[in-house]
Amino acid sequence: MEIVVTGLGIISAIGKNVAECLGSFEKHKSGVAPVQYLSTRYAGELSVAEVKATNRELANISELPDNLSRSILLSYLAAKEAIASLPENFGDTYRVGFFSGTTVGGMDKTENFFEEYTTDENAGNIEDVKYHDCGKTADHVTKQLGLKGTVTTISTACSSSANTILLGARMITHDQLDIVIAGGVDSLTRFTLNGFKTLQILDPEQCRPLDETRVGLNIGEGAAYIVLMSEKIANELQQEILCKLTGYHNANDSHHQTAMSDDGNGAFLAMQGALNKSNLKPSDISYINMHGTGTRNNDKAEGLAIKKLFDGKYPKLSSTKSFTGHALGASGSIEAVLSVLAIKHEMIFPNFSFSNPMEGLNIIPETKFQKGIKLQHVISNSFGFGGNCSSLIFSKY
Amino acid sequence: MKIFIKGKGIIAPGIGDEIANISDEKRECIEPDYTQFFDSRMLRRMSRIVKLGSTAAIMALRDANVESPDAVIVGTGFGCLEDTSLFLRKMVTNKEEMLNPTPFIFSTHNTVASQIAILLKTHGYNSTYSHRNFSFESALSDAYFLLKENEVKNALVGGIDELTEDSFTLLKRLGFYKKNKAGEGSSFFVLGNDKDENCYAELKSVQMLSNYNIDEIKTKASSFLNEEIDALIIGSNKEEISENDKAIIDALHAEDKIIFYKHLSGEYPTSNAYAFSLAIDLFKNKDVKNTLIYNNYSGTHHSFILLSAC
Repeated sequence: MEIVVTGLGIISAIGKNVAECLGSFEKHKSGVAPVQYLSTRYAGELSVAEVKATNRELANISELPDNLSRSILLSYLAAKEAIASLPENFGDTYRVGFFSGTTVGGMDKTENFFEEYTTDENAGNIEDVKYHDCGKTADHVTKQLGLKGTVTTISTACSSSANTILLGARMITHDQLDIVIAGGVDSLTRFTLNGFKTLQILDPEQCRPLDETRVGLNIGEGAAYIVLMSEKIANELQQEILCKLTGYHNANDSHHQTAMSDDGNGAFLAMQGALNKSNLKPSDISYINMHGTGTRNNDKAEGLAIKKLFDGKYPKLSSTKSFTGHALGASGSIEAVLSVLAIKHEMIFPNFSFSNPMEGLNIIPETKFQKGIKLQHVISNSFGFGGNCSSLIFSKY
Repeated sequence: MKIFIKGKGIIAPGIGDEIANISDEKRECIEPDYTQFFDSRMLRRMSRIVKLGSTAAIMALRDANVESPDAVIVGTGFGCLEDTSLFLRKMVTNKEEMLNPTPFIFSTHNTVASQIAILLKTHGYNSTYSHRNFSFESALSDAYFLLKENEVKNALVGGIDELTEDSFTLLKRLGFYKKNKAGEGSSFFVLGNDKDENCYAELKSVQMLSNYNIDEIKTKASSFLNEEIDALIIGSNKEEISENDKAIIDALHAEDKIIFYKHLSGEYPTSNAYAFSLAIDLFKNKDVKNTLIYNNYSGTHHSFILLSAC
């Protein structure tokens, strides 16, 4: 069965929808900037990739109340854009799944609540805590969008939303669901910003993925969803087919809670498994949208895994996190959306701020936005804490 | 291809009505002697939820005679609350300075599944679901179709949530414990797609349906509601059966087949994993052919797990 992609929705540091994000790439405009919206002592000091809007502004665009968690606002906007081409009430006729990935859910509300709660356990507005758990976001968004069906949430750190796409493909393959909206969301929080800061893997300036001089990542935020269905249903619903999802694989690095093994074994297994699933050879791959966080550890391990798998014959590659930042649980689906766009519109997304190749790897990412490049097969990589590694392969339809 | 449950490892407030770790408000796990499972050096580095999860996982694997599973899939409603609270409290009181990274590292929801992978040195499929009261069903459903695909021969599936001081205080304020005592638990199972002497039950079907009212469910879930079942496991307590549970009982004519479990497990998002252990134990009675677990929350989210004798 051919699984196809028919819808995309995205909100990130470089735009509030697909068109805006594409425009930023075209203008070579990174979304990384000193903290502006998050309330933190590091405002103006650390560089992050925020969605350029306050909660109130997001609430206005989405016509939702502004006391919701930022994740709900972001998730709703991206999901709404993704399903825009589907007919009204598609859930009445078709079996629908909504799978969302996230790492901290409504932590933005919880951490504000804790300011008062830590001084008195009866203090603080307890309603704020209702947004905390990961599943609340998807439940709220599906209710708001009037989506009925199978709803679940995956939390595998930075590969969360890549894994929802895997799950969607499996549920369609097994004829359990007809249409799956898969993706994820994370909003920037003090919790994650401080967490990564204590791990000393933040670049206080614009990050430099794949560059020998890289010192760390920029945390980002956003949401993205893709709509998956069988080719048959896409035709039935007269949906434009953007590309196919041909390969996917989930493997575990099984090495360390936060660090990837030196040789990137988990990354290698994920990419190799995805190639096997799609019956493709490394030489069939036209472009890799790398996980490429900009940390010393990730980029070297991922680079070594790619070197081994491709036997040094690299396809075109880049890390778009240099534009969008690392949106943690949402990064997998943000990059899945970009991979689909790359195939559909025959374009390559550049790697911002690259100049020196990593020692011993000779990986030279694309540094310019290019159009008119026909791409047959694209790998999108997502790796996370806990060794959770997933790779997806999108192919031209 | 049929899917079988081949092993279980349960750490819970009590097994059966007799031995229960019970206080006025809480039902906390009776924890095993962890030194039987790990050396002291390892134990010092493990958070409580990692101990609860890894130990129940090892118990399930030993029970199923499986050394290392092909897949590890965990469901947790709230994740690693102890470490999340620790980091949050320090962050707030220290005003974002002088923080220790360790609680942050172990606060991510996938910590239990990934620590199990590291412990067992397994590189296979690894996932963590965190979707409220359907976290365990989500993990179970994923394993079910992964096994059907024959990509793996066996899968370790667990449901785990810990009760902490902060979670108790906050969930009590939110009214989470109005009907049942606060609970926690770690229930792991080994599922496989070949039948051998280790077989508790066959997992026939798992389904989750969200944003439907109970009348819609009667049509949507008619395949479950037309089954001849010997037992129906529900999340209400004896004294106060919810409207949804009543409707399902009526549809199945199951008035005399109801099994309650929240008085044993206490209330927590993955308590359904504990219910699953009760369900598979029912098949020790050879007359039991089919059991159904119905779980629901918010009135509009419904799940069904159907089990049959091996």
